[in-house]
Amino acid sequence: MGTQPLKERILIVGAAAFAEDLGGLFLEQGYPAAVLICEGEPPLALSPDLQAEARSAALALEVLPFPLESKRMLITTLDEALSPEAPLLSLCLTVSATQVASWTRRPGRVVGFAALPPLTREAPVELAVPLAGDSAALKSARAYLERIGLRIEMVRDTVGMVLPRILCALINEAAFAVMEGIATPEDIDTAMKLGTNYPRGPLEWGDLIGLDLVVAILDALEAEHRNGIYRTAPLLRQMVRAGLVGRKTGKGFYSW
Amino acid sequence: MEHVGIVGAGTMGRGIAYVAITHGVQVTLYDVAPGALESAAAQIEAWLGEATARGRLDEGEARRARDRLRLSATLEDLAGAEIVIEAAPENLALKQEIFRQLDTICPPGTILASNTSSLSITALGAVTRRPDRVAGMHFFNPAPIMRLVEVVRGLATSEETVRALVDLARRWGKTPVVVKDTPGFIVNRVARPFYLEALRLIGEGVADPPTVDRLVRALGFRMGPFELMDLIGLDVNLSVSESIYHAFFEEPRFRPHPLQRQMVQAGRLGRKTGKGWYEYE
Repeated sequence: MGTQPLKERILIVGAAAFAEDLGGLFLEQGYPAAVLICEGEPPLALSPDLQAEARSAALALEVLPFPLESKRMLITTLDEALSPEAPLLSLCLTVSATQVASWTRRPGRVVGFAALPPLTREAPVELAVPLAGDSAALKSARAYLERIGLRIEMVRDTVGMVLPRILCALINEAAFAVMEGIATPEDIDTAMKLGTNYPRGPLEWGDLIGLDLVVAILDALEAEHRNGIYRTAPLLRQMVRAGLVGRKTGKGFYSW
Repeated sequence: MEHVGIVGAGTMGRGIAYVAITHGVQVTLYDVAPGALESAAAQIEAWLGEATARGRLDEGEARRARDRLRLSATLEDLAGAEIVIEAAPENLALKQEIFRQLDTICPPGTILASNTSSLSITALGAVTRRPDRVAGMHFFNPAPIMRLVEVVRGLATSEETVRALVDLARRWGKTPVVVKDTPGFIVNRVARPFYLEALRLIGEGVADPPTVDRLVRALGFRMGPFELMDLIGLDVNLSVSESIYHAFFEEPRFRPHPLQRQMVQAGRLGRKTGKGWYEYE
């Protein structure tokens, strides 16, 4: 008979920009993945179907990057619904994995990860274990992410990990330059691509990631470090207030 | 024929001279350092030979380009140029002295441009009687290959001067961007966090240099920040960071990192000393 053993069930809950890409990667590899999209406000309780889904999931991914209060509610809901042994991978862009773990009854199951959209095969993903973490959860979570083709690097747990910190700092500096009127967004991106061989201009990158997420990451970094280094360019905040967050709303530094 | 004067026959001056003579422009290349002009001429000859060997120039074009180059140790020989590009060492007092002299030697209509990467164009224009005709024309190393040119608008620079330099850069096959005279212009300023954030990350023990570099390369960058610092030279990179930090009156975003200073103190300057963040054969 040609029936194949079913692969483990995966539950993915959070923002579309992450959940859809990750769901696609798991489905491509034959994993039955249930994807629940929520932006901003999380469901207070999971529907009966999702309760069942959560109970049977071998791995859950929580991918709501911000706001923190919503993320916390979602983590609490998932922690209650998941089977005790399922690892919980949490997207840690604006919070440390250690803090996410502190919201759960089982801090040992939490593994933090950082990645930026679009999440395609071969995309870099950073993993961090909370201070109160557990190597078994890490081993299991890491194996799943490797099986769907992501490039894993281990880093020490900190808000924003490596790439989001570097990219957001670049985007912020470019935004300050735009705000100060030193050059046009197009010229700034051209200069960075031709002068330093960047694969994309920082402002174009900001539009792709979403300026609302960039501001949330910078604010989280500034709140964590309190050193003025991650002070968000007021222009970025203004653009977010105006709904000019980039590709997903059709307009940011560029029209999409 | 269009005539451009170039002050300083170092790495940048000779590179700019090569770009100009291969785009139909007569160049007077000036330097006073012993041997500088001879070494520049030899380098330009080698580039012309290489371009001919690779079929990018034919023999006739290379010969005509060669004929367009004049070498001079007399600043007065630049009097006939419509545009002078200064590419002297990065020292404000020295550059201001050159601009003062050029202002006396060159007719009032001549544009005086500086290839500075770190000094204020406004401060150079201020020592002349033609600050409206003083601007930055910042080429990147190696000038014959890098397409970008930052055209820098000083506080008093006229729109006409900016336009003339933008046109010139385009005619030379470059991609000009226009930027106001501010510390680091675009590239050296916006690139600061690429290095500084990477240094802060290793300083906090979040990751080591190879991990950071692998992650950054996985995003599509050709080199990670630590590999790139090794290539540029940690001393050069640190001095750019320090210059921009102080020029912005100690803005925290630009604060240099103690780890980098320590590496420089240890003489681990990167590829040129065989050791930086990595070791080299």
